[in-house]
Amino acid sequence: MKNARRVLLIGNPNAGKTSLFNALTGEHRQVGNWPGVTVERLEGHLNRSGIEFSFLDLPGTYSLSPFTPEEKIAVDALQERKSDPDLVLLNVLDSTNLERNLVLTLQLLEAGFKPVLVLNIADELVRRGGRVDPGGLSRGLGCPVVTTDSRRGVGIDELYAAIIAHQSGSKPCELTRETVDGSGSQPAQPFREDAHDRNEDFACRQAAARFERIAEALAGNWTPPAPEAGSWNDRLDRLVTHRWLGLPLFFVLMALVFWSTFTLAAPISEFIEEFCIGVGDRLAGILPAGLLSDLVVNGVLAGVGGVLVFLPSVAILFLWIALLEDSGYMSRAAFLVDRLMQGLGLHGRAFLPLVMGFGCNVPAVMATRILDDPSQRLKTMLLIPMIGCSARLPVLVLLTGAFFPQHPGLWLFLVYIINFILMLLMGRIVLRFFPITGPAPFLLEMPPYRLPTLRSLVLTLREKIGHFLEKAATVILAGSILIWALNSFPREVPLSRPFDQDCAALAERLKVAPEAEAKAIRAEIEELNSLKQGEQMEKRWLASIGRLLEPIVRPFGCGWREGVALIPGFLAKESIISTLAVLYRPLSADLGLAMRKSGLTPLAGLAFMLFTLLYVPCLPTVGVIHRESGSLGFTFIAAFVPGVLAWIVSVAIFRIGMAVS
Amino acid sequence: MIQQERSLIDLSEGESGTIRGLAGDSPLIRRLLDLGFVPGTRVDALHRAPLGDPTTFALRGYRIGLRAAEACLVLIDGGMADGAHPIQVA
Repeated sequence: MKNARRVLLIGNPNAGKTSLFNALTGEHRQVGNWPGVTVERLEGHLNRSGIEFSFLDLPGTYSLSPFTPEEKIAVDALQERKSDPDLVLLNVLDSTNLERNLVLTLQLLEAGFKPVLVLNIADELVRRGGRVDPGGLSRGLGCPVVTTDSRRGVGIDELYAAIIAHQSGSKPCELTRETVDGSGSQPAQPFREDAHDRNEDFACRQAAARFERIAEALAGNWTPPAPEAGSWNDRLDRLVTHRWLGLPLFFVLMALVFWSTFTLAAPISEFIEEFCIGVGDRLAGILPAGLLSDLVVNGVLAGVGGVLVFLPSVAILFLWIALLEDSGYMSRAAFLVDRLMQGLGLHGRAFLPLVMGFGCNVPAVMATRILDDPSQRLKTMLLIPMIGCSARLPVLVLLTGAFFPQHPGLWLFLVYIINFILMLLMGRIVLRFFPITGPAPFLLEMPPYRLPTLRSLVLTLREKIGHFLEKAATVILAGSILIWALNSFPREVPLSRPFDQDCAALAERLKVAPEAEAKAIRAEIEELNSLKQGEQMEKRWLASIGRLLEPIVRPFGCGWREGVALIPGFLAKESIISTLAVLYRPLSADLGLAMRKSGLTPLAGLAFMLFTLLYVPCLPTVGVIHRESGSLGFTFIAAFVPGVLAWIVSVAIFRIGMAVS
Repeated sequence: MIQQERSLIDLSEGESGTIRGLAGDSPLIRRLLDLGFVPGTRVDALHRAPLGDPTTFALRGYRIGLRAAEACLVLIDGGMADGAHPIQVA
């Protein structure tokens, strides 16, 4: 007898499979992705009383005839391990909903598996006036049966005992006569499209026979929970799905989620940012001035700060998602807004990630995990970068203020409307050219409302933060250092005047100057410094590369400075303004005035606004898209297609505007 | 023989019906069968979403939302099974 058990967890969605997995494995769990797809894979390895256990949580499935890509993963994984002698198959069942849950069990039996049945959520069954007899059910179905309440860890020791016993053969699981009869008369081939299966009568009779068989096994062994009508679950359901109140409640809740994710997180992010700047200042004081100090402070630390500022938002949003998901409200929310999402070819659940995109694309892309269907996730991920996040807003506000001082709000609105139309266009047309969308039939189970447990909230949160740091962080950090390098080399550039000497001379004067004069001198030093910065930037690599981008922005009336600003804008959209301010400094301290002085028309400004909104998602977003999609090709499409669309529209607006005026 | 076949979308909120059959055969139909939409099963229409689609149904002790595109595949007997009157959900 080998001392190893390879345990697979299989069961319907909402049967508490993941919480059972957590209860079984505790801290020993690893989260990854199934190869090549964006479906989460939970694994756990641990040693208990001298036995090596490995657990694998299969995606939730209603049946062995896979219907969604996710279910196909579960069925394929099961098929692969069919002949493993150490395999223990745990079929996790929702005790309150046994009729439907046992369909999968019968299919497993028909396919020759010998599962251990786990009657999960047994506490709720009893609380709602139901009853289950594990012994009777075990005799009826010919499988070992264990009762658990995975959320509170009840029955886990018994389950371990059953897993060990099951393997050692002390409780042989043979198909009972009834089981064989139930399937024997109509051989089921759950893994293959059987020729018979095309006969609708056959499929229908087969399903009906299974439900009859289930009714037999349950007779006398299971009392369903009392009818829901009038229960608090039912009342809550009526309220949240109410014709008039449902949507307002939903929007209030979404506003609360949005507000706490971004507004509540802002001071924490600011604190983190200031802390990083503070550390940078201290380091700059300690390290000898020069390249190393510059790299550490302006490259590495700025990058670390750039990663950490996202953490509060990511954490708060995922806390909300876990709450909404575990409580059962997410299904109702999807139900309420599904009709709106259908127009984009999306599932109702896609609403939340899309709305979050207005705050920040990074947590929004991560939030696509609430979509089960991988193709739906990819589709949503394609649209998110086209949503104007809060970092793009200040860029737009400043530019509308500079070019349209009479009605800035109106023009801002116009830009957003065009952006929205482009997003619809992306959803409708561009997606047709990329074969990532399968048919997505809508079968949305409405699980009973349940109170989320602290344990599952903490676990989810820890994992999401870990995921974010693991992949996004490396991309953001690398990008930050790269941009720093481009903007720092060549170190020495010829300047129009000896700025350093002039500044030093002014500083000398400041020491002896009376208070009245000091203010003017300080202003002059500041002026010289920013002029120097502008001249330096103009001659460094960043600007050289940026000038190469000029042909992109020229067709809609912009110049080389706008081209240069696109590069740091890739790292963080808000950098567009600071870069433009430095580059336009020699013309005027007022950016708007300087831009107009350089010959930019309001029309070009409008086109530039639209283009910067969409030309490319920021680097952190690209990082998480790559992390979540696992595909370079897809990341490339998500990053550049919106930019191409935006360019075409920007040029069109500029050209048409020129022709009209 | 009834010319116009009634399906789940014809149920108003609060009405119930008994499944008579499913229209055609496809992976979707097989899934509906596995979910318990088999002939003879009683299905209650619970809530219609505020925008008119989808609708939540109750059967075999659980609740599931179906879009009109899926609900129209499940054919039912008379809208007021067992002579019951439709209950208007507020």
